[in-house]
Amino acid sequence: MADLSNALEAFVTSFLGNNDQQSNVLPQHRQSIMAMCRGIISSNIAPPIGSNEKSISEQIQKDLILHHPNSQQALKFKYLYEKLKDINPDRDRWPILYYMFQCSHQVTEPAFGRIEYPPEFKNSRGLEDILRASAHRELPPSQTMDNVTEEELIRDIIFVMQGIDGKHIIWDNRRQVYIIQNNVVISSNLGDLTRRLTEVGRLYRYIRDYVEEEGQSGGLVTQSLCSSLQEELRQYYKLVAILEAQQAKVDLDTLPGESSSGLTLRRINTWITEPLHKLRLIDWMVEKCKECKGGQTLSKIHTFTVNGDPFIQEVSNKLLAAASEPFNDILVRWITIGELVDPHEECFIRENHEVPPQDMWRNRYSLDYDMIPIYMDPEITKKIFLIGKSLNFLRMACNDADWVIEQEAPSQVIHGLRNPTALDAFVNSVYSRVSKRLMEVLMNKYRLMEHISAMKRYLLLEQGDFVLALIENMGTQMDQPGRIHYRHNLMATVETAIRSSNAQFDDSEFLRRIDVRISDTKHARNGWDVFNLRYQLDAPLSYLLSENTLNYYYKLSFFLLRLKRVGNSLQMLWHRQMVSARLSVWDKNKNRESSSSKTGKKNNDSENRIDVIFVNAKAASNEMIQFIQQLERYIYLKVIEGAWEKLKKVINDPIAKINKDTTGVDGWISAHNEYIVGIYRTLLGKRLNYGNILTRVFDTILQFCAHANELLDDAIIQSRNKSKNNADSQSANTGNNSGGGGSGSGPKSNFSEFLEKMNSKYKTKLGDASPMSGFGNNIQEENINKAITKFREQICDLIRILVEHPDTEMHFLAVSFDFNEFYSSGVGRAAAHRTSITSDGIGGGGR
Amino acid sequence: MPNHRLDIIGFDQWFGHPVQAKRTTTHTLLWAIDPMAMTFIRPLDGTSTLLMPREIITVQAGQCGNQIGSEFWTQLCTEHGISPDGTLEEFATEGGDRKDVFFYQADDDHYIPRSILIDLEPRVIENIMKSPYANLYNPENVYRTPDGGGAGNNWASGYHQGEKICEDIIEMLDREADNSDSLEGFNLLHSIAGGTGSGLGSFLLERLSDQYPKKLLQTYSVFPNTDGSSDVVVQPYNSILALKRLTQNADCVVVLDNSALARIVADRLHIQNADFVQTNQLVATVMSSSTTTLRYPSYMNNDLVSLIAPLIPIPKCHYLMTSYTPFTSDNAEKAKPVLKTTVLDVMRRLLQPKNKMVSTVPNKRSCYLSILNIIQGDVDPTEVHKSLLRIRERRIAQFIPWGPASIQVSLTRKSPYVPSHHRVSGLMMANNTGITSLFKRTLDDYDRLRKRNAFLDIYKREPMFSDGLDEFDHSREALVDLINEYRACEQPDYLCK
Repeated sequence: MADLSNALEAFVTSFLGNNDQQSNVLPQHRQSIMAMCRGIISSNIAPPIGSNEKSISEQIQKDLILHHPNSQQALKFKYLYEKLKDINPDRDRWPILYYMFQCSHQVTEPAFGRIEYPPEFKNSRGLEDILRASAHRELPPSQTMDNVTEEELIRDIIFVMQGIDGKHIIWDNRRQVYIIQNNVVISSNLGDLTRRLTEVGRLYRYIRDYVEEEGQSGGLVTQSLCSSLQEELRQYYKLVAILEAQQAKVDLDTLPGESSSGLTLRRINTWITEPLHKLRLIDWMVEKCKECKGGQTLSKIHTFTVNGDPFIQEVSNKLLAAASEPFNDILVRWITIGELVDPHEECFIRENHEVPPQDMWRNRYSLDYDMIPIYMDPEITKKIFLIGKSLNFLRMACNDADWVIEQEAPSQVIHGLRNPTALDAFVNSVYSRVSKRLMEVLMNKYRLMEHISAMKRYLLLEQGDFVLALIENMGTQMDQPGRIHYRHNLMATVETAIRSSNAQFDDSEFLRRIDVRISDTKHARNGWDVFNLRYQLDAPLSYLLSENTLNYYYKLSFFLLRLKRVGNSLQMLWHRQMVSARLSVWDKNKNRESSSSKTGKKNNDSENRIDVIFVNAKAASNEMIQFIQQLERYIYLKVIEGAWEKLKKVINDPIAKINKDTTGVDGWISAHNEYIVGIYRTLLGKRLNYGNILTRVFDTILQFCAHANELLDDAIIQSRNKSKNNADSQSANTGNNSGGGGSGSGPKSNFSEFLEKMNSKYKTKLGDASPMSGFGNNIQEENINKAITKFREQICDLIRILVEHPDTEMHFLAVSFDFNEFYSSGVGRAAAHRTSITSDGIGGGGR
Repeated sequence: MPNHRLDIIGFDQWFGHPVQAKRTTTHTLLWAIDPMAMTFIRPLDGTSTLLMPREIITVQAGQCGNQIGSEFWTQLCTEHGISPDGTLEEFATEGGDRKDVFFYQADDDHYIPRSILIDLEPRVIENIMKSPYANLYNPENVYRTPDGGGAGNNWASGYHQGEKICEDIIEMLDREADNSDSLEGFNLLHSIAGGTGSGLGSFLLERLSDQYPKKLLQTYSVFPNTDGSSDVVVQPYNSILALKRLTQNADCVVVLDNSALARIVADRLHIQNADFVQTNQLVATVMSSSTTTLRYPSYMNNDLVSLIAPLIPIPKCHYLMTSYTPFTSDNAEKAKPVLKTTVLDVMRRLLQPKNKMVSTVPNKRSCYLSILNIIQGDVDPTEVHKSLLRIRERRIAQFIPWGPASIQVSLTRKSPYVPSHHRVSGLMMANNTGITSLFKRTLDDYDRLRKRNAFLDIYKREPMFSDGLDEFDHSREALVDLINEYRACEQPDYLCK
């Protein structure tokens, strides 16, 4: 006996370590294990399988092959087994093999894995579990010395099931479980059963606590969930009540000390199998749903419904249906009248009350993706969101509440919407109706596209005659630097431009929105730098077109106005050049007619030189006109009109709509954004820095125009002087002025004084100390040549940048700037070079 | 003289011309000088001038000019939905068109052409006055010489008669000009072969250029048949004298060549034995197409300056040739149907010689100074860009070597009131050095006549030639200058001669 206990002691120690203070295993525990071992040994268990050594060894081999990818282990076992057989052929090897096989089997595949024990239970129980698992079914109830009767335990269990501490079983707050008090000694079998039954109590407590806490404070979904959990608990109470009644009957029936034949722990265990299962499930759900609300909760519950176990499916579906009810109510209200009543923020639609009205469409409502129940189709959620938003927008912004109210579905339909499939169908039908209505209201009542078209006319300058009138009317006042410009003055000019152009026939609905803004005047060189055209939109259209979007228009408008102004200056210059050429031809002719003037010959040389300057200036202005025309054509016809055609196509073409998934107002907004941002990026985008280059080119052109105009001013004064001299000398020579024939050359002597004033004014303006030998002096020539050179260099740069650009579109633009290969074939380059040299030469050496 | 003319009070800041304070129907344009500072003149504050309308006054001189003009106004009325008596048709509600460039509205809302009809013989104008469009014109703007003798195909006679009736005509012009808010220019319609259009037209050009130096002077000039089939033997004389004025006094001359027009009528419209009606319709089509950008405002080319500025890089070289496609006429069914018309097709066809309304003989060196295509109709605007690149790829057109030159394109709407068989139609206005062949022919014809001193007597009878035939020599010189200028343009070193 002592041998046996020593051997057992050693056996247990080998698993649990020495019986000293370090060991974390309680002595009682050790004792109970010893007792259990003893029980196992003393019991005479019939082996479930025949003691066939061969079959077990084969089984082991099979198992090894199964669990190890290579057959190494199996071979090794076979080798060892053969060796053992050789060494000791007579020995009975079956028990050893069987025991080892069983042990290995239990360790690799724990049968209790399904039940999740708190982690602290796991360490010390390895052995116990192995032993118990192998012995559990086979061992007869042990006849150990219990100090608590089963009846007492049953009573305790019934208390525990109601979440109340029993006499022997109490709630351990630290571990959050029920434990059997330490002083209780019961057979392992009974303890095991008891422990298992306490789980019910633990689960009940958890669920009850959750229901009590969250049922009050949580959101509507949680409240609804809790109320249906309460229902489940009520069924559970019924069971407890039945058990209690049974127990009470037993108590009455049986005499004390007599073992009861009615309610046993085992029976209770059978009774509660199903409720336990349910409670476990609910507990699991509750655990998952903690810290969740609304849609998240529904998502969590939904994960349980996807389960092969019909029981789990049933329970979770029931709970889900109950919990989603208030959620659906919110949704139904949202999709029928566009109102969000969601005090606990449970719905996946968020309302931001701080958003200003102009941001209403874009930012007031948003989707909270966390809150979307996973069982809802993303498409449907998006539609739900848009339906409500549209309805809301129709009511709040578009004064279309009547329609919204008209559309409200009958109550039985609304009632039916709790059913998800009905909801989907309803959403789909309502969605197309609502979004169609909203677009209709925006297009027809608020004339959205017409406004966009008007913005193209007035901000992107399609109404060319208006722009021309505007630039001309502003011309003189805007060119003056440092002048203070008042909005009302400019506004009056804009109105004049409207009246004098075809814009006057436009609808006042659009015209009254054209506005002027004067930007910060700090760095402005002249009025043009501060002048901005604006287009004032009202609600609800202003809610759709953000300030940001409009800014693209404004920036483009500023740029295009500048371009137009440059083009206009060039055309004015061209006109002056034409007229002066006409007049000078005329004058020359007249000179020749009136007298073969001897004075004329003296000037021949200088006249030639002046001709060269004129021709050069004329050719340069033509060069610039060509450039501006090509640029304008590209911008207007290719960029703006191209984008516009695309926009129209996207908005009008239902197929494109479906393909691009751009429906309703958001689709429109994104299409419009693509339109205007596309234009902006192409012309002024940072990616291609040519917006800046163009601005510099414009400056050069304006500079050139100023110089060329000065040259013409001087030429006119010079020719006036000359004709005056001619006339003087003529009258001195012939005495009588007969020629001309009413050519209208004007009353010369009347303003000779005036002309001198003018001449001196120009001299001082040029700030040149050198004596003025008429017009076309070196400085002017130099200025003009410099401007021409600069322009050519800038154009060559621009073309180079465009050619090097990866986008072939840009290559084409370069081609259209360089249509006859003037710049690329070297002639233009050379010309740029040459003018720079000649201007240097003249600037350095003089004439 | 009209009494609204005030004293000269200063000088125009543009050209140093004396400036007059002028009162017109819609506004008062006052120019003032600051008496103390003697600074430059500027418009007085508070006189906001309505600059935009950019009216164009059409002056039709002589038989050809009036015939073309009459077709032109018929065409414009159709396009704008104006009935022959000047009232707006009921269907003409679409708007978007500018009628005030070529018309003004009388007090009873009738549209009246800004047009002056001048002829030295009554026949053509009387025909117009018998036509359904008789009531369209302002009768005050019609000038017929009382005696109605005509100019007898004599340039000098036309010119001289012009001098005599100058007062009356200038008054008409002034009245029309005052009737405009911001007159942009004059269109002169005439032929250069005969007496009235050529001689009186030349006189008018000189006077207009003098009287309205800042206004654009554009002419649609019909050049005579050069194949010798003309019945006017002195047409080389008339042509050369008129060409001098066209070169020196006009800003832009749209050359329409009778032989080319006749060829187009025969070949493209399949009308044999064509009379002038068809050719005149062609000219009217060209004129109306070339003004569509002015009449249907859009992004670009909304005034005459912006239309012709890119076309005329050198002041002297301002002769434009035109092409048009596709041609339609009253018997369009007979014409070969043009089925598919893309922008590229149109642009390519416009460059083909057979569609040109000028019969030039281009040589290797001939090159374009500039091209403007006005494309009308239902066009995807982005197609223009692509087509341009294709044209350039194929190098169909040759350009000047000394500066940048390109094909400009302007898109315009089509009149909604004119049914058309064609989706797209196009007009090309081009400045090509090949036009010199036309001048050269005129010059050669002139030289041949002059060498024989043929038919000079009738000229010597007129005052201009009473002292001698210097004017002929000056005109010849001017034409040679013009030819040389165009020739020089073909050289790469044009700018650094």
